[in-house]
Amino acid sequence: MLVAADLAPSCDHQVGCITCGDTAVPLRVVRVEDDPTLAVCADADGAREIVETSLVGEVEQGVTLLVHAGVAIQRLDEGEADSLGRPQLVGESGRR
Amino acid sequence: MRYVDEYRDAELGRALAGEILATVEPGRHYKVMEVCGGHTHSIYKYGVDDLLPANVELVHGPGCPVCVIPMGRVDDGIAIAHQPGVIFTCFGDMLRVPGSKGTLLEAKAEGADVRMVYSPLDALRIAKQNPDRDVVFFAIGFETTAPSTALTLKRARADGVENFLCMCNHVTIVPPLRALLDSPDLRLDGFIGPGHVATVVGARPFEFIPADYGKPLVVAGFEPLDLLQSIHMILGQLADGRREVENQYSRVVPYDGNLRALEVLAEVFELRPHFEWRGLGFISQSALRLSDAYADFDAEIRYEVPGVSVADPKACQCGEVLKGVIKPWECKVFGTACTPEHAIGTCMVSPEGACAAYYNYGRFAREREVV
Repeated sequence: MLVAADLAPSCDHQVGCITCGDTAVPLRVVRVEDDPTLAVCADADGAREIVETSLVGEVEQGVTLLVHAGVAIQRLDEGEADSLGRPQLVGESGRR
Repeated sequence: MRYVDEYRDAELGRALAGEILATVEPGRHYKVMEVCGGHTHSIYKYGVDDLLPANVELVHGPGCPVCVIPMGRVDDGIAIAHQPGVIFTCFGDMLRVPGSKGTLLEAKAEGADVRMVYSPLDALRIAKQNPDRDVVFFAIGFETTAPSTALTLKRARADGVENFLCMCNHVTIVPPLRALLDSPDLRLDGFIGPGHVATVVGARPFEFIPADYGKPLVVAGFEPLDLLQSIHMILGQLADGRREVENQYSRVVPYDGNLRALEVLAEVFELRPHFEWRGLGFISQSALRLSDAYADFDAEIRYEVPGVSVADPKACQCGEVLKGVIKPWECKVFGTACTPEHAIGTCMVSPEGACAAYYNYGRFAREREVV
């Protein structure tokens, strides 16, 4: 009997499903392709994939993108978290 | 990795748990719904619920796109997959979702050419490699995933790929939330808002929840500290008598969303008048179809599909689980007739589903210990 993990590593119960759930992952741009709307990106383990970047504007090597189903939906630029890299504290920028 | 590790700090987590405990009113029971299946997964993976006081209950919402697909749509997909010459592509989870006469995986075993893809762009690549066959992508997901399908269709048009087709099942988050809030058998105190849907649509579309229903919503990230902080923000609003949309995930979510993505969605899709949701029934304007400009790519126009609404198996209580009326273990078939290997209901199929999350992380305890 095949289980989901045999069919789709992305659907492994330990990592969740990055394609069908509302879950995106941070990936770092390794190289921008000749088509500037495509970039080779890598995850924390070094696994690479080609990502469509047209929804986040021009990207350059080294930036981190939030990627869902092969498409970057947001840039994760420096400076958005607090100075210690932690979530914003309640009452600061977390509140509208 | 940056943007991940700093949000799993145990010491900060314990501190937040202490702040949550200090915020709750003793003797009051709080019910907070996490809308998104990704949040459900994170809560059980990291044991976030074990850090909460006993009177703060997390209720699982309808935000797993696999779990809300009704059986009739799976049947329609299988009917297309069996058409001569068709290569049918979908995300991995969909392969095991049962329709009334079986799954896409079983259709593959019967000879249909069904292939798993990680992205609609993979399906487009298959279409370019097989110009003499129609390649159909079974599109599924909330507003997080819909831009990926939309960009793929734009690319297909730009590249002149005429054998790429889309069976569109994309859904939108606001109408089911409204349906849930109108449901008489549900009492909720606040919402953990879906962080990655909001990355696309922004936090603004959720303003109706405090405005019309008087309940707080906090858009949240997916790491354990994000969830703890969001729960603290919701409880803080309740303690202060405030009812607002707040954005805990502001390092990612712009209040107005990703405008480029919203433009692409408006170009490629339009709202369906009605769409059926598993457990919630038909909800007006709650799903997307291809716009007239992209009708040439619509698999439901090129191929005839049964289009029959099919009732869920009687034993299955996914509907009540999706509405948060019962906990997964309270379903009659949880962990016995319905397991991840032999799922009856969709909540057990997808790892994002509430039942699978309970099953896989051993959440069999009926009562939590008081912290």
